[in-house]
This record gives sequence, C-alpha cells and structure tokens, in this order.
Amino acid sequence: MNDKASLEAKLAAVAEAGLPGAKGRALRGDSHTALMAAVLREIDALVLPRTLTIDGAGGRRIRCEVTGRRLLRVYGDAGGAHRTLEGRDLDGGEDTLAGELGAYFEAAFGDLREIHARVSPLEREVGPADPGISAGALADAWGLTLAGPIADGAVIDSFLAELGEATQAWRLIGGDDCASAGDSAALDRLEGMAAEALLPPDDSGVMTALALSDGGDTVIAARADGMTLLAALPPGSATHAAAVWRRVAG
Amino acid sequence: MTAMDELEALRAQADGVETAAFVDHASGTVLCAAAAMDPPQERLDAFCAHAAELLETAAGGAEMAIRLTAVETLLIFRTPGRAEEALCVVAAPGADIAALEVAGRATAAALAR
Repeated sequence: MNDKASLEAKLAAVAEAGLPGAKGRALRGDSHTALMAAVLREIDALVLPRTLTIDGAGGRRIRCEVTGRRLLRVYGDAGGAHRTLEGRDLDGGEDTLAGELGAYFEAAFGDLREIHARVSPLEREVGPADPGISAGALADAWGLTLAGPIADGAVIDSFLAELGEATQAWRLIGGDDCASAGDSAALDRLEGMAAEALLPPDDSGVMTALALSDGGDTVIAARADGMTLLAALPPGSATHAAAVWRRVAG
Repeated sequence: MTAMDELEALRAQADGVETAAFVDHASGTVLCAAAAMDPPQERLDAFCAHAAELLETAAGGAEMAIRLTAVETLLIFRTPGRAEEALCVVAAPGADIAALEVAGRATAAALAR
C-alpha cells in the first residue's frame, strides 16, 4: 500500500468510527458566496504543496491541488460540461478559467451552507509547469475579498491569529456579514450563544472570557472595530486569551 | 477569618485590586465588599448583575469570567459548592491577570468554607 492509499485508508477508518474531526474543519456561510470566500481563504493559506479536500452533504467532494496559494488542479464528481476541468492543469492566463471554476464549485456546493475542509500533503511534484490560478485572482474574478468580513477588524484579526490553532471554532459577525469555521460541535455551541450578552453594550475594545463549569471549554467574546467575535478554546485558556487580548488591543 | 477579612487579604495580596465584593447574584445582594473607597450602591448592584450575566449565560454556567475593558479588569469567580454566590474582583486595566486568577480562586475557595 503506497502512502496515498495508506492515508486514505486511515481517513476512511476514522470517518467510519465517527470520531470528531473525521470530516475536517467545518466552513459555514449564509450564502454560496460566503462559502466560496471561505474556500478561497483556505487556498490562500496554503503555501506548501497540499491537497485540500472539500466535502459536502450527500457525499459531494472536490479535491483541490494547491501550492503557493494557487489552485493547480481540481478533481471531483462533476459531470457534463464541468468534466473538462477534472485533472486539467489550470492556468490563470486563461480568460474563462475563473468563470468555469466558479460554475464548477457552484454545481457541487451551490445549495449548501456548510462544507468540510481537510488538508493533506500533495502526492506529486509540482514546479513551474504548474502555473495554477491564485486565490487572489479567483477572488477578484468572483467579486470576493480574501480578508472576508474581518477586513476592517484589525484587532480581532490579530487576536484570532495570536490565539492560533488553539481555537477550536470561531464565529465572526460584522454588520450583515457572518463567517464561522472550526469544529462542528464547538460551532454548534457557539451558535447557541449571544455574544452581546457577554459584552458591555455600546463599548468597543472589550473582551470577555468564560471558563465554563465542569471543565468545559473556554468561550471568548470580543468586540472591536465594528466586529464581534465568539470563539471556543480548550479548557483552561481564559487567562491566556485575556493576556493575548491585552497585547493586541492595547 | 471572616468573609470581610478574606476580601481585605485579597486586596492586600494582589496588586491593583480596587474592589473585592462577595455577592449573592441570585438575590442581587452584596454580602460584603472591600474597597479603597466605599463604592456607590449602583456600582455594588452592577457587581451582582455582572455575576448573573456572565456566570449564567452559557448552558451549564461558568465557573470564572474575565472581562477586559479600557477602564478596568473584572474577574468573577463562582464560589465552589455555592452556585448563587460569587467573588467579584475589580482591578486596574493593566493588572496581572494570572496573579489575580490565582489569588481570586483561593479567596473564592476560602469564602466557601
């Protein structure tokens, strides 16, 4: 069994066992556009050669080969007109490519508001012969911003970045925009909470950390620059999160 | 030590503590408070409201809350074994949060005895 087959066998076993995280990180959006913005942010975060596997309800799946923040190839179950994209070397120089890819993703996930993303090493060599199309170019073509709803929330952005991978899930609200990502169960718990109830009204640059009872998660609510954040962290993280907030919020 | 002694000891031990209050947030009663200057009644009432808001918001409740604003650092500790009682600690914005957590947890435990 080669490495790829071995990895797929392990993932299948984990999925069958129903263990947390088997489906990957949940990406949620209140529209297909918001979901695609989340997918592009995932691509934009990948510098090394990686396979980004995106799963949706009903067994729908697209595998994206990515390196240097560029989408190199896609594989999935799309039929008909979209089949021409399967396994093709993508080239951002093609005028119609962004539109084709937009239709490709919409055909697969257009009716979904939650998908799951997993990242694994890319099992082939890539080089200059793989031009790909950058996440930024796709965002421009699709009228999206890679920064998403946190574009104006520098403090919140820095806070999330400093908390790093300890963050189990987050939910960000800015005006009419809402974005969220992370572990599905933690996201469900966050969606049942009102950030406004945890923060002083009409105040900015504020943060509340709750250590939930009985060894439960740490829940963070923060507001700055017109953005409101709810995040779930592991138990015992309240003091650390407060120290991070003080550092980034000044 | 009385509850008041515990609050005074906390103020003496932890730098930057302006007020330490022992509250019953279920009934909205401040059981006792230690402060450099006597806080106004509405400030004491706010401690009870904050404790109720923050400790009871999440399903299952919270054992501790930390709130940071531009003007203060607020820590609230549920008293072990007494779900309706809490210790509220108000400190300066730049206070040492880790030290306050250690001192506050110890005082909350002492208040439960």
